[in-house]
Formats: sequence, structure tokens, C-alpha cells
Amino acid sequence: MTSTAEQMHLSVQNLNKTYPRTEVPAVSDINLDVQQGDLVALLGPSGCGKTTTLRMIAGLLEPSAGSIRVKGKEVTSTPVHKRGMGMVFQSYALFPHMSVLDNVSFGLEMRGGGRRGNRKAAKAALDMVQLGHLAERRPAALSGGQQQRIALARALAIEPTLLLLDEPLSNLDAKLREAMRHEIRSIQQRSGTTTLLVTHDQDEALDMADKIAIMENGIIQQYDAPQEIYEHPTNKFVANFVGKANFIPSTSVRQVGEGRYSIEAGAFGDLTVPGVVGIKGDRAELVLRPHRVRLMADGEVAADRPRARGQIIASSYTGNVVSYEMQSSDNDRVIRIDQLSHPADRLPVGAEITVSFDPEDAYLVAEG
Amino acid sequence: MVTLQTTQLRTGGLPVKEKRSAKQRAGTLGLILPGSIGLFVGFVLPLIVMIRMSFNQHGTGGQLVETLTFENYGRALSDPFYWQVIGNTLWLGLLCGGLAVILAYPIALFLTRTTSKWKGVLIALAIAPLLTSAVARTYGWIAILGDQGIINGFLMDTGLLSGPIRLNNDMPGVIIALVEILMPYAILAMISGFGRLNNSLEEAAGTLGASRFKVFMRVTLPLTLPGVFTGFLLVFVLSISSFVTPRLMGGGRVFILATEVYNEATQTLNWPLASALSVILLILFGLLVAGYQQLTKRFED
Repeated sequence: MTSTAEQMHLSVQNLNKTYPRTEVPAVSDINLDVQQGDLVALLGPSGCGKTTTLRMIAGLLEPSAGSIRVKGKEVTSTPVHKRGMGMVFQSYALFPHMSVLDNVSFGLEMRGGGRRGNRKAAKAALDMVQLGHLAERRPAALSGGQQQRIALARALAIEPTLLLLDEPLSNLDAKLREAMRHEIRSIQQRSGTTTLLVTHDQDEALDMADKIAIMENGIIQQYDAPQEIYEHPTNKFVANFVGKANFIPSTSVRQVGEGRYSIEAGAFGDLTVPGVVGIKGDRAELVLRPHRVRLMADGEVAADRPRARGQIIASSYTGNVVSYEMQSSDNDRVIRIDQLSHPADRLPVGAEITVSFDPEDAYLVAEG
Repeated sequence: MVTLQTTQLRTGGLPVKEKRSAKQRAGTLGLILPGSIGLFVGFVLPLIVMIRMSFNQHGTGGQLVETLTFENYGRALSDPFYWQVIGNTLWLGLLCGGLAVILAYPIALFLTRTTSKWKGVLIALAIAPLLTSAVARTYGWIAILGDQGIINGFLMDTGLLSGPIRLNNDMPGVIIALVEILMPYAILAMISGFGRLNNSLEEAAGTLGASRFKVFMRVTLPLTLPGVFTGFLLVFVLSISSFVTPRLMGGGRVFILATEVYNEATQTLNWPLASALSVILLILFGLLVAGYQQLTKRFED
């Protein structure tokens, strides 16, 4: 065991899970170190193994191999009810036959302690989520947002070593989801509870997490701070999954420095761009975020910028942003461009345009 | 909340204020009518005839005397024998209900929880015994429990017993057979009554520090209790009104209301008394169903 693992609040090592009667492992060789007080998001498409990982950490599922340590202490074979982790379920899983207060004090009751003290602590947890006035209600009488906050209060009331959130916001409508994002984050930071969040929603992960683990097919593809994930994806899957991306096929790839490459990027010509360290071969793909592509005004010259001409073949309007799809004049590529919208600037389909970008805003990743 | 549910039930889920057109109402009536007529002719009318019959007199020569008397009820309720019969009947119902529920509960819980692709087949298997007539299954039990049956035969062949023990032709045999025959109903009722149970509730209790035993006592059991009540009520009602099994398995030693009604109606030909006993049985049912509804209402609150 390394000394860094000892300092970590949660340390997951080589975690594996293969379900009975299946060939392909649901989760393979997961390594995850989480610092005290951080919120880490497990982000990935459905079926990527993120919930399986969370359930193994919670003790609801037995790993096929690997170890889980909390504060340096091995908990891999500790039964779920002795792990002291608080979990918020996607369905909230509030006990329908108990009042809100009884729900929240359930965990305290299981730990013993006086009834009066428990109720006081439960009340405090309810006040923390601003629902103290609903203590005597039944969960069924509350809205989705209220149920979700009560589930959070119930998980936090036991002062868990680890807070586990399994898609906690997926059953809420869009507006409420965003408000709850900030509320959960602020409660988590105030209580300093180390937290794991499972989500398939990239905005949620980018907005809430200190670090994000991108998962696909049971493997962690990248584990980094949100900005690193977005700006410097380690592969095409990550670039494609988090945010929107143009992928420009690039040839004649040649390394010109640590993480710097000279390439030929189709219609944009010869460029020098940053990229993932250690790309092999002479072909790669250039990740170009649509909002980093600039529409050039008529007659504008920017000699040092790569550029391409083309025709708008589609446009979509989402209020603050207009997205165009441009077929480049050499016909090899459709490039997506996102622009902050203004009624005066809207371009019609069929318009001829020239686009450019700053090569330092692009990022080269391996093919595939 | 309960009031809200009942309003929704009454209006078929439509908002109360919404007026329905005459056409819609005629359609509803048309759908309700056939069943209602059937119920009226097949149940309400005979019931009225039976209640009326219970106030008639059984003449000395065995003939029926049209009159209005409480004599039959007086006789049924003053004769210690009939009190014994009522007691036996209730005891049989309680015991069968209790045993069937205890035996069926783990099966129903398993069938609710299983994620096996054979779930449908397993449920069908659990209730398949209902496809066989109670008569056939009762004779099956006679073959097992009788003096020359499988159990006594085995015990005597191995020399554990010198003579047969009486399993058949008495209350224990009736109870064993009835519990087995009625268990599928208990399983069915419980499966449909376990709707509020779901895995994540039990998992949540686990993460909050509840051991498996505490999860069962505090979450699983309270959430499945409505199903348990329904299962119990169903088996109770079916066993106190059962006739074939007590008759065939009782060997003339088991006296319950249903067999007495049969005896009075076919042997003594005392129809007024048989009717009065039937009405008493009916009142027992009614009280029990009312009690059950109070219980579930309190539970939902």
C-alpha cells in the first residue's frame, strides 16, 4: 500500500465485477482515489458500470475482486449496515409507512442513542434542507423535489463517512434539477462530506464535481478535474461524451514537442496544435469545440489563423445559441459552429461562410 | 389522503367537477347492467328468499310453515351444540388462515422479489393446484393421512407404530388438507398485496445501519402487512365456508356451520334452521370483512 493511498479518504483498487452467467465484466480494474471533502462524479452512458461501482462501494454488491478502503481501513468485506455510508437512491427510497421525521431518524435509531437526541438530530438534518416544517408528513404527500431533499437529509443525518448519490436528480424536471444541483453541492461543502455522485448528465458532473471519472464499458477512461476533462480529453470517447465536438481527421501527424504536433487538418491546412502525449502513427483526430469556431466577417483577413470556406446546410436555434452546420467546400467534412445568438446576425441556410479557429483552442487525440 | 382516493375511485379517476355527457352515462350503465342483473338474480334474490326462509317454522311433520318467528335463531343460539359449531368454525378459519399465511409468506416474498426469467412460470406453478378440483385433492390427502395411508403405512412398516394414529377423520386432517388447498389463494393475495415493497427500500434501510433482521421487522414486514391481511381474510372466509374438505376429511367428527347447514337442509330437511345457520355464517363474514376494512384503513393512515 502506497503512502498516498493512506492519505486518501476513499481508495478503490483494481475493483472488478462480473455478474454470474455473464462473460463480460460489468466493471474492470477500477482505481479511484478520493480526497477528504471532495465530490467526485462517476459519469458515463447507461450500462457503463458506474452504478455497479457505486453499489460495490456501498456494500450492496459484492466485488469479484479488488479492494475498497475508507480512511486507510479495508471495508471490502464489511456488511452494508456497518459501513456507515449514506446513500441517496434514484427513487429516493423513502419509507412510505413512516413520517418524514421517522425516515430521517431511522439511521440514528439503528445506531442506538436516546429517542429525544435522535429526534433532535433528525430535526436538525431536516432544517439543513429547509424542510423542518414537513416533519410530520408522509413522504407520499410531498413533491419530488421535497422527497429528494428528505432523502438527502436522511443520508446526512448519520454523519456518513461517505455520501453516495445514485442519479439523485434524474427524476426532477429541468429547472428544479439545476436548483437542486447547487443546493446539494452547497450542503455537501458545508458539511464537508466526501461524496460520490453517479450521473449520466454531463452538465451535472461538470457543475458539481471536484473531479470526474468518465466511464465506458466498465473502465474509467479519464479521471480529472472538470476543466481538464473538457479541454484536454484523453481520447475520442471522452471528447465526444463530454460537450459537443467537431472531429477533424488529421494526417501527416508528427510530434514536434511534448504534447505538440504538426498536422495536416483537411480543409484547414497545415497546423501546429497541442494534443494528448504519445500519439502514435501519422493519423489522428483534432477535437474542435463548436463554440471555439469563429465565423469570419466579409473581407476579414487573419493571416495566421487556419480557415475554411463552406455553405450552411442546417441551423438550429435554442434561444441563446444558434448552431450552424457547414459543409466545407472540399466536401470532406461537416463542421458545427455554435454562436451566441442575436436576431440581426442570423444567417440563412445556403449562405456561403468562412470559418476559422485558434489552433491553441483545438486538441489532438488518437483515432478511434 | 384516503378520502381523496375514495373520491377518485368513485368517479373512476375523473375530476369530480367534470360533467359527463348523457351518452357517456348511458354507456357506463350499459356496461354495468349485465353484471348487476346477474348479481341480483343469482345472489340478492336468493339471499332475500333465504333470509325470509329463516323466519319460517319447521312443522312437526317435517312440513314448512309460513310464518314470522325468531324461533330458529333462538334454537341455534340457545343450543350449546350450535355454539360449539360456531366456535369450531371460527377456530378452523383462524387456524387455516394463520397457517396458510405463515406457509405462503416466504413463497410470496420470493415470487415478488425474484428477477428470474422463470418468474411467470413459478407464479403459475404456485397457483396451479387451483386447476385441480378440491374433491380430487381432498381424496389425495385421504390417501396420505388415512389409517392405511402413506404416513401411517410408513410408520407401521418401520415399526415405529403398532397401530395407526388418527390423522384423518378429525380436525387435524381437515386443517392440513384445507391449508394446502387454500394456500394458492394466500400466495396470490399476498403477491398482489406486496406492491409497496421494493428492493431499494430494503437497501436504503441497510445503508442506514439496519441489520437484515431489523430491515425485515421495520421495513419488509410493515410494508407487506396489507398483503398478509388480505391473504388471511381470504383463507379465513374460504375455510369457514368450505364444505367438501371438512365433509370428506372430517369423517363425521368435524362439526362446522357449512356441514350443519347441509345436514339440516338434506337430512333433517329443516330448511328454516338451515337458513338461520346460513344467515349466522353470513353475519360472521360481514363482521370480519368490516373489521378488515377498519384495519386496512387505519394502516393506510
